[in-house]
Amino acid sequence: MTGQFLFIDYVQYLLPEIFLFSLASIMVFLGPFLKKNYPWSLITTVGFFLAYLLLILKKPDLLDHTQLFSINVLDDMYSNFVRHFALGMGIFFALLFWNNSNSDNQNNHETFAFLIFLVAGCSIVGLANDLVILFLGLELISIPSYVLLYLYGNKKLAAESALKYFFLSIFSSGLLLFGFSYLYGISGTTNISAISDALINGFRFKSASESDNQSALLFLIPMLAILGGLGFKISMVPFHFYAPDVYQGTSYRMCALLATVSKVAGFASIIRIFGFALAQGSFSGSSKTLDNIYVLFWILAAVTMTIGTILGLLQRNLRRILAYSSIAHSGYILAGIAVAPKLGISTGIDGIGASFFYLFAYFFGTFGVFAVLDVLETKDRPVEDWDDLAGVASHNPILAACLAVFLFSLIGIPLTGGFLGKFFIVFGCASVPYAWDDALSKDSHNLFLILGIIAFLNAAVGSWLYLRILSGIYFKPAMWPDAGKSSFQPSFIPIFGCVIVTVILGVKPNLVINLDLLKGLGNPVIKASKLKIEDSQPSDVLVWKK
Amino acid sequence: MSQLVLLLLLLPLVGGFVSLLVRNVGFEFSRKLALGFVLLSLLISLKITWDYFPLIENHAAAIEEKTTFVPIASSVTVFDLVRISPPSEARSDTGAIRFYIGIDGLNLFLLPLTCILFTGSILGSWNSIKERSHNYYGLLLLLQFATLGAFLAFDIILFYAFFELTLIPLLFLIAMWGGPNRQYASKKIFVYTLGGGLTTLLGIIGLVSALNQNSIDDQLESYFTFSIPEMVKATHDTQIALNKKLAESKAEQNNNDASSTSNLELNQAKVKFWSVTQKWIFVLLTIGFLVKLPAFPLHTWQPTAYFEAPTGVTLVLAGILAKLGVYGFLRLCIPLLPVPAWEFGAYLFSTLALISILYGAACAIVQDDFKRMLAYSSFSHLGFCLLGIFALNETGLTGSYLQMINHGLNVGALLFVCELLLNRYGTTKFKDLQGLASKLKILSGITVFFVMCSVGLPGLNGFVGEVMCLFGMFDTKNPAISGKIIASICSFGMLLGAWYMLSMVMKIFFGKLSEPVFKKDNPVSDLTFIEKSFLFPLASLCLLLGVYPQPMIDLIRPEIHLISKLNNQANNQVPIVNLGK
Repeated sequence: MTGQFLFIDYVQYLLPEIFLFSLASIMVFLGPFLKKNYPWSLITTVGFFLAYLLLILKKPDLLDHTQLFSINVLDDMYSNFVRHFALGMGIFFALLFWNNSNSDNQNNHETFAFLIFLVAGCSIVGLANDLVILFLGLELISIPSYVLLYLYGNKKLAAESALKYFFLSIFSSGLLLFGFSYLYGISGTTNISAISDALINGFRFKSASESDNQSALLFLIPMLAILGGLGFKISMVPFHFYAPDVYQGTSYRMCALLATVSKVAGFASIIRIFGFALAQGSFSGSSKTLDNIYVLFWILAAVTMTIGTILGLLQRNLRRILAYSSIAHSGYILAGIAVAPKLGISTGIDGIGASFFYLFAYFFGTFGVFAVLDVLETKDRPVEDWDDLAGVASHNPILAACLAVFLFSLIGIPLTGGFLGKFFIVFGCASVPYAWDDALSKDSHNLFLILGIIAFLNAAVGSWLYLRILSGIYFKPAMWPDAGKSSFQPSFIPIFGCVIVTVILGVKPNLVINLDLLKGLGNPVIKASKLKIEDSQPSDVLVWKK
Repeated sequence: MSQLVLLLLLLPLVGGFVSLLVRNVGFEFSRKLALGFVLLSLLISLKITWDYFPLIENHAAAIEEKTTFVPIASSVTVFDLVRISPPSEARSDTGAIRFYIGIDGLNLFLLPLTCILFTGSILGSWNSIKERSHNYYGLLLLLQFATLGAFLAFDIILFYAFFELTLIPLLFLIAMWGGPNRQYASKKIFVYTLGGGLTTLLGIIGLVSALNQNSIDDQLESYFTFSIPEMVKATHDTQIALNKKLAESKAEQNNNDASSTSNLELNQAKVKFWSVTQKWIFVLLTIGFLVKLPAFPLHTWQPTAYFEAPTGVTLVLAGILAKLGVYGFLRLCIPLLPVPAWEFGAYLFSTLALISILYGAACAIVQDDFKRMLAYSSFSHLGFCLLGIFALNETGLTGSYLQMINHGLNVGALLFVCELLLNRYGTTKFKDLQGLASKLKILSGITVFFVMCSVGLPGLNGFVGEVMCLFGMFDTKNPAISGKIIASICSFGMLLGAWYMLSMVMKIFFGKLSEPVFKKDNPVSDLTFIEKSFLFPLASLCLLLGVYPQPMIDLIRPEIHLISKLNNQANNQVPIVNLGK
């Protein structure tokens, strides 16, 4: 019964996402008829927990992976990791959004419904094996973001910020769609595994005379368009311009959403689509087409981290500082992706694993910072400048200590997740293997050594950026008698969770994240390419090389 | 013993958190609590030192056998922290960052030194820190934890983690309790040291991954390890194996074997690449320690930080944190990379040491403030440590180690005195304080004693270290440097040291009494019991180490011997490494 999938298998596999969609849809429809203070936050939190439970209880191996080229969703380590990550983030955000007293926004049901859509979208991005599904997931993140940005802004800037995000996001989606359709035009399929396989193993059009080089050029155009479209999601230079302005116009909780969920989805899709180029070590060389794409990633990584750090130093507004900080951190993650094709997986850490570890540590640090600032900001006392944080340490020492831990993690001080993240990335950069008789491999070894140096330089310079926030909390006399006082609220739970996870990630990461599993993350596509090609049905347009 | 070592490390951590959490108890309680924890850790560290004496014979034999650092087996605590790849069957140290602490001769004496100086720091802050004192003492204890951790670590990443961790308590201590310009000073020291530390980390990463790559030498097993002893062994083995191969292929070529030419070229390329790699790693590795030390030209954070920090913290900074830099050289730079240390390190760093010694002394002479003068004098004295290390022979290394301990004791005592003066008069400027000897007799007497120690009066402790450093440099075998000239120039540093120290004594303690106006309700008194109880034992210790340093030299001899032996072995091969035909 090859090639036939039971509908019920798909449903079973996608149960967490389907559950979340249904929940969100019901919330949107029922919301207007119920009273304003209906406990939507509780429902959302429980909903995320249930979805997480469904994910854990899911039967393994529901999908037949021998039919890789004709299934639209994947059930591999990578998708599992992203799904767990996404739903976990959902729980954290539900708790963060719980307390809504500071906002004029009374449309609670919409807020939470859109939050659910957003998280489910991120989860779908993780498991997509089809360009269309991937696009669906990405749009499920974008569209709720437009609404939430406006709902949660301070009104003066919110409109501008939401509009700016809207237009640029539409632009990036257009770019992405252009790339996708171009890719479809070349390969005749929207299946990511099939496209990747074509790129890895080389392919030719019906005329056998055309060489791989020409097709590589052909592939470069959609790949650049896709990278541009996704670069917007991860605020990669030169698609970063929106980040500071948008962050400035909205509330800290929305900043957190943009800086984490969007970014996770963006990186997940970059790694999925570019998997062919990043697949490591298991076949000779990397993909024949687009062999040198790592150079592009190298440049993007170096530029992104440097520009994020330098421009961040010039800012005074906390939201803008953190926006540039998130840009800089994208650069570090990109460095991991850049080095991935050059690293074997046998030794030490691999590039994709390092990137994901960094992303993981970055999530807890960034979420924590934004969550603490969100708690500190009240209607009468906005927190815009780092001077506004003065006195927090003396009135609310616990929250201040939490913020300090997050900032130290973002700086990369030992015993926090941020340190090990940077360590793994740079360790990856420094251990690109080389062969004695191959000058090219020595060049790439040195090239990545330089990237490691750039990363550390940026880390040292960037520490100043976080130190200023820290000095705002600790070393300035209080300006308000009640600065930073706050009673317990649900968002304290994820904050404490973040502190604990950040420290565990720095001390003994195996307790929360399996480093061995991380290692396999880069290779979903290799798994695909190892399968026998005859077993699957290639699309008609392609003639597969053995 | 391993429980004792672990207890020594964890006690300040627990104490720090207890002190941070116990709020609203008043400064009297916080300071007593902190003192209790520190004294307890001092007792434990003395016990550990005492227990070490009978072990020395076996320990020396073990080091001789393995030609690498060997922590005393009974003192080791080890478990995995970050497992990156599964361990190989033969060796459990591969593929993981481990929590690996232990005792050997190199860190043995630094533990009691740390505890003594932290006791001094707390006693020095006894009356001056009254605001948020629970935080102050808590952070001080955490600083002690990080420092002890760095000394105890036998895993290179663990070492780095503790090394960098010292920054956080320091940042808060300086920025919250320091002088008027404290915020600038604290951020400067933070960014400086973090930058230096990250450079060092890059060097560490470079070394680990270089050793990890089989391509350097196909015959060696892959060393994916973070354990310092294993890494020392690995670099050593790699160097020797490469040289051997090169020699073999040269012999083959001499036998006119046609196919061997390409083999020779390959091996030459390997040796050259490895030596270039080592050079880069050496430079990267040293930068963090040079910042921490500090040595010229990376010292510019030091005067501001020393001056702005509360004196209790300056005491720790000068007395023990600077020693982390020296310790880094002794534990990591020299044993891990003996070849570049010999080839150009000696040349480069003995020059830097020379500049540091003379420049620091010259700066110290023109200061008008006791504390500032001590900052520069410390800069100058630590130059001797660097000088001794890069003599790269046993005399120099021993001298450097002794100077490390002795300088810690001396500068600790002098900064303690400085704090006492600050407490009594609120200033340490020379123009405000004159002729105190007629009023504060015991204080003046003991200060003169410590000044003599610091100046290097024979028979007192400062003399032994500095002179051995100079002796070591004087008969260094390194052809790249002319040790006699450098040593002769550096000996002027001792002269200048005597000049500024003695003129300080003249200005502050002798001559006509002139005190600043102070509050009438707080009359200036001579040493109290608490102050005496710190200064007098310290003075007797200084005297003891000056008169009879032999037991200490004996205890550190196996490690010192090892370091110089590694150097000699690696550099006996140097003529082969040099490829210029």
